[in-house]
Amino acid sequence: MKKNKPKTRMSYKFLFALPFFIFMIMMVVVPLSLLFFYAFFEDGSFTFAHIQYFFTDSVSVRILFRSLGIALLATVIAILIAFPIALGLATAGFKRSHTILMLFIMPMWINLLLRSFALRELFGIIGVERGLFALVFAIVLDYLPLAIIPIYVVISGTSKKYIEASQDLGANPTQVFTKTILPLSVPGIMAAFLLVFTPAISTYFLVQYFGDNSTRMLGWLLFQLNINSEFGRASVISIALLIIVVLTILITNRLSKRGNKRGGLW
Amino acid sequence: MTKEAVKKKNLETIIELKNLVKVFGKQTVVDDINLKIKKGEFVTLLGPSGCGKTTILRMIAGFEMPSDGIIYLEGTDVTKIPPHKRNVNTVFQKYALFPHLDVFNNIAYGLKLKTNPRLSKAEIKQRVDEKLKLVGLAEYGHRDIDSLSGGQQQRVAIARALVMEPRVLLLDEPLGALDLKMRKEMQLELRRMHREIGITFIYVTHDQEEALTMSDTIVVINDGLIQQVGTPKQIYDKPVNAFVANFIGESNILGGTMLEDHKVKFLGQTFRCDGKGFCKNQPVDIVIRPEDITILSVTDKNAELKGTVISSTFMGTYYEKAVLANDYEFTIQSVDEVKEGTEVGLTIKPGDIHIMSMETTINEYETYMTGEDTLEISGVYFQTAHAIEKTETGDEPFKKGDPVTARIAFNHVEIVDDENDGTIGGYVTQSIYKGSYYNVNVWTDNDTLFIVNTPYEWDTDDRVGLIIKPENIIVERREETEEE
Repeated sequence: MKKNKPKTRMSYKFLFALPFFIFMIMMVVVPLSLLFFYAFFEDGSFTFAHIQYFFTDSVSVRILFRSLGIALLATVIAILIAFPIALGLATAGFKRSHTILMLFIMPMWINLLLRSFALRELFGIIGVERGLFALVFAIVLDYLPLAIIPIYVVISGTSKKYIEASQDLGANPTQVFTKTILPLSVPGIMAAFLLVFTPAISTYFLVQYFGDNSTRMLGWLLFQLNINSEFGRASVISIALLIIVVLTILITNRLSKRGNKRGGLW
Repeated sequence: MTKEAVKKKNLETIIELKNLVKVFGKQTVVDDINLKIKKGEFVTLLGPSGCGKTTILRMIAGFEMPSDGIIYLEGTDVTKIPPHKRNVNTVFQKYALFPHLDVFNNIAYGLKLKTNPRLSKAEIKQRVDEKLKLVGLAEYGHRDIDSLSGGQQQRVAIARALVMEPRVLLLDEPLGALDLKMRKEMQLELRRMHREIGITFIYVTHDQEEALTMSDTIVVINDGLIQQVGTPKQIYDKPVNAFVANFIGESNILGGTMLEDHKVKFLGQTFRCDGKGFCKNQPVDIVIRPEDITILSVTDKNAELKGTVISSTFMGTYYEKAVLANDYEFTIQSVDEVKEGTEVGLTIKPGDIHIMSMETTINEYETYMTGEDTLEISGVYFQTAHAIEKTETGDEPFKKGDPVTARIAFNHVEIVDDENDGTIGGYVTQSIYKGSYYNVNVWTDNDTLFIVNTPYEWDTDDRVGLIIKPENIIVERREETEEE
């Protein structure tokens, strides 16, 4: 009897994890399996046809590179805008820097659809055409808070003592920035990159709203293929997106580790 | 250079602080400090936390701008020069080593920024290696900062500051984060480095033992004021006031009266002492170090005091005894073991009874009447009985707005636990046992000091209330100096 006791206790404890496992199987394992199934099977037999089509079709390759380009452009612009804001909020010693930060973050709590409606109306009034500029502008505007937060957190967590140590060793204000503040905020910049780039590359709705024929991205293509019930080719694009996201995570993590040995992104 | 020339050069003043003041908001942290530091000295700024010592150091480094006063470095006014242009370097309290750089690059950080003249790579490497060797980390150049122990990080921080070849090295409680053994080791190390390189060290600490073992000169600071400047021996043997005596080493502090030169009365008895030049019957503080009291047998005719041993603790090399005599609990350190409960006689050499004049003997406030019988002290209105009496004796009554001096004797202020039970609240900043009573300092939120003599001990940093009876406030008209 005694010997069995630990075993029963184990299975008893396992019950608590069961809902989580069922959820994970339903929401992660099954969809992923379906994804791979659709990508590699046609009429019950194994095939590379969908993959081959994706990489040989000039339209889908162009859309892949265009997506990478637009997402990269929007991310870089978002970080370039976010960095001075975060730096100012974290170091200028405002009494209510948290409140000001909230003001920058607040738009995120309003539904994306509503915000985009408003922006499109605004563009309509001032006469901005649909196209690359409108699309990038919309992506930057939507994801700017996601860029500000991690940079702000890292810089405000970078203790004032490093800045003082830097001054003490003869660094003028510019050198304090380039030799101390900037290298120490690399993890924040990398986190910002990840948080903006990954949703930006798969954006569908904003493309539909602000883009034109020249700005079609992977999300849009995915949508079109799904409408045409081309699940095989759609699955390949989904897998491509998945790979891009995983690679982004790996690269940013590596870069932020090199920038700050104290730990990776998270 | 001849020996005399070296000596003369060493006596030059390298840093001078002139009427230095620093105010944060309403609080005066550094209050009109004047100090000269000689070249090559190991100077320690010693005081309890919050006394202003770190602020002084930060002003010398350039991180804080003085509210008033001038800082001279080698005779030049550097008060308004930013930190990166001052030829002083700091070893920070928590090291502040750059986490994104390895040991070598942390130390080379400042050298790489130098432009006049720009240093070659080989030169930088040579200087960094030299300093790594000085701090005993020759093989550690390529290590990550977070792979080092606290003591090693401390050494890197010292090397990083020293490699800049500063005129003055500032050390802000650099050993505070280390464990006891490591701290002792680093004390000796720092002392050795100071001897080897011969530059001026300004060291900030709250640890009196550290200050006594390491320094050439100790500057004792309290409440933003310099209490005493001297060699460790001077500070220990001849503390100028009860604060210094209480802060440096263990001591028996008693209140007494100076009867005449070389004669002092305390604990109801008259003792011979070295003190002279006091007024007749002047109230004084008396300090007797625990090792300066000799225990005799109770029947010995040389015994000046008789008492009972109430505790005896072995401290490794000596016994620390508490002896109750004439209602005062003496702390005595000696190598002899005496059993608890033993009746003993005590004797103190006249030279070991240190007399200190009390700076203040009464609480005194310059203020204004806010009504015929009310006045304001530290933002609170107090009733005064004496103002009324004055009217009855035919004197001119006080009017609202009259300038007055209010005096309250130390033993006429009562301390209560609950702030709301008192007229005014504040923090206890000092509590010194003086034989039969405690001398307690209470600072109110308006930065006003009330000194209280009370039979009870109050813990420092505790929030307390003060009660002052109207009849105990002595009011006197004050001639106001005309303001333009």
